[in-house]
Amino acid sequence: MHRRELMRLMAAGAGAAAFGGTFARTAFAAEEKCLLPAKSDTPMVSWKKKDGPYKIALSNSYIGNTWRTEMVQIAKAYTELPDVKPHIASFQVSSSGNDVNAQIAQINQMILSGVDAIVIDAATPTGLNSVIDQAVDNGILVVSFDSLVTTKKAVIVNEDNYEMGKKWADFIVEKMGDSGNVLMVRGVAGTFVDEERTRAAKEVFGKHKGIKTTEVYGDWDDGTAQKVTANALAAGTKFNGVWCQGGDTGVIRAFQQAGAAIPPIAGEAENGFRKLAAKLKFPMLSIGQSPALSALSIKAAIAILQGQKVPQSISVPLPTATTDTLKAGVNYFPDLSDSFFTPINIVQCGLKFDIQTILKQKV
Amino acid sequence: MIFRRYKTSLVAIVALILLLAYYWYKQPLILSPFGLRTLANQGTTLALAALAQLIVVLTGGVDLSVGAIVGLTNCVAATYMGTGPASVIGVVILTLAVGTVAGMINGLFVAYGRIQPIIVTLATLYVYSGIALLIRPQPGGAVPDFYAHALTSAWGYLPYAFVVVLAVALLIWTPIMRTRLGTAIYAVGDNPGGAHMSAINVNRTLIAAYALGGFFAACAGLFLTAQTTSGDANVGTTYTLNSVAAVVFGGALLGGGRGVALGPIVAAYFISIIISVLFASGVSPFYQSIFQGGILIVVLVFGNAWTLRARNWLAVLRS
Repeated sequence: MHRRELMRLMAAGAGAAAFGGTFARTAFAAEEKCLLPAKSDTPMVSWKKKDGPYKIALSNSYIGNTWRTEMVQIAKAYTELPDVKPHIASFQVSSSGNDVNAQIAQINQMILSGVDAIVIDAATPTGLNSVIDQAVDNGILVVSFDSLVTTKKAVIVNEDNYEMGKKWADFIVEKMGDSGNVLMVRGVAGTFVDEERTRAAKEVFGKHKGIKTTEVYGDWDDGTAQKVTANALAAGTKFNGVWCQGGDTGVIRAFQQAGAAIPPIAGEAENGFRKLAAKLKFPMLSIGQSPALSALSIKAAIAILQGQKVPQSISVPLPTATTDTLKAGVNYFPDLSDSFFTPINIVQCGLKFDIQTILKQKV
Repeated sequence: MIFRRYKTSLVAIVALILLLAYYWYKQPLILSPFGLRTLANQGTTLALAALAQLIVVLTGGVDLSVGAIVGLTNCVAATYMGTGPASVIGVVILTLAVGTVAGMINGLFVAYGRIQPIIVTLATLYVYSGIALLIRPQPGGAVPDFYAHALTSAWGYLPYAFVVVLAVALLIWTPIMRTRLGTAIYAVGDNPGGAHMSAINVNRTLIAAYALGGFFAACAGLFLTAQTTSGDANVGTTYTLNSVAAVVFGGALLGGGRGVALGPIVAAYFISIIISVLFASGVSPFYQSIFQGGILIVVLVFGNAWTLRARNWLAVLRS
């Protein structure tokens, strides 16, 4: 085991040494198609060019669900890739929990230790703004992803949730036709993400008079989604399509338990959802928030530090899979748990990870 | 004499000095103006929340709504502050009033409702967090720059946050504790029956103590507002139990009647700074909470190590 790893490392090292120059250049050439502006009027930002390698830090808030763990693992795996490693002098990760003060302290600590860029998954949209302003005033680049901050001084990297909701709805209309009953399993009430996704879906469904929707809140959680779906099914409606924001595995199990045929389902990207789709072959569209956003944020940070101009708000291509494109070991993993988040790759941005390398990373 | 009075704070002081020495060894820059300011800002909210908790603990109660009042006052301040100096002063006074009233409501239920403090404040915790959510359904709001600077900036090596804590402790806490009310609070916590027999109005003392607790929690909320320059209804949750930890760590008795302000303030800085020290020494995030709790237990055990040498167990029980 050790020897094999050593040999792999040596091979990688030799490869990196031989191709180092070209590698580094090609690795960042793909960004033209990858770091796209969120809106047409998004301003471009540029930074004072610095010479690498760079000190980069990841400030995470909550840790304790699969998504966040994977996100940290992927970030670590990314910084160790042979074509990325030469650009990185040091990479630190810290998780503060959902405690604003702790995360402020953490970011201050990062400012003190003189990092070049801080990548943030925030505990609160607004509470970190002043410390981020402080970091930027100290010449530190700040990139915010996933749980975003509102300050314009940070570069934003995220998936477009409106677009996601729209694509799910379009898929249902395409598979079901323009009439029928749609079950909408929403997320956590009152959150920005839930509002955006639902707004998009309603605009799509609203165009078709024959489509009737039933809304329930599944809280992005398998257990809750299963319960509310079972309740909706018990009311006797026959659903011709399901639009679901998360907890999809639970939704399917509710259909199975009720003995109902599984309609076309558009939903998130949990492993359990895709596993069931591969087995049961119902029409499925799966798009999800990628844990590789952390890696992409680091990639964007390096690009900016190298002097590249990027949009202040970057929209990440949505990682999509359908029943036909499912491939075991690539976009779903039969051996892993149902809660694992499958979109570990963002291919449009050249981010491809080996599942074993990710799982091996200590958090 | 003075030393004996502050003996209970010794554990926290020694622990903080050791922690800072280690931190300085790992990160020499904490002695820079920026580093000192960071350290000061980091612990000040909890230090003020610890004072809020302490005054209630001294009466023999516990206040689980401290975090909720911090969150509520944070939302009030960040939502209504405006931009002009006049409106800032107005809203600061309003915020302090909101905190005081919230505390007073706790006190009324405890004193006249004859309900256990832990249940009263657990109930009001939900009520106050609910009101905070009504005022500010989503995080946001703003405060003017001069307000944030006045509380969180520094004059060379002197962070204003330290000035804030010192001012609250020396200009508000100490004078109050020197009055008849202060003595009454200690007496009620130590022995309510005895206090009553000594012609102390127990109910009025309780209400005053809880109201003052709300006032200090509002101070914490105001400082947090300066630090985060925004309002968030959920921001306060961590301060409840951490303030209890700081109070106990700082040498006060949960049973009431014993404790001085110095210990809990120092302990609050200790508890707040641990996480940065762990980060500076490269501990994995998954182990950070284990270390955080573990260090606290170890320090407390060492603080009580003298009991092993006590000649008579009664001396320990009476301490």
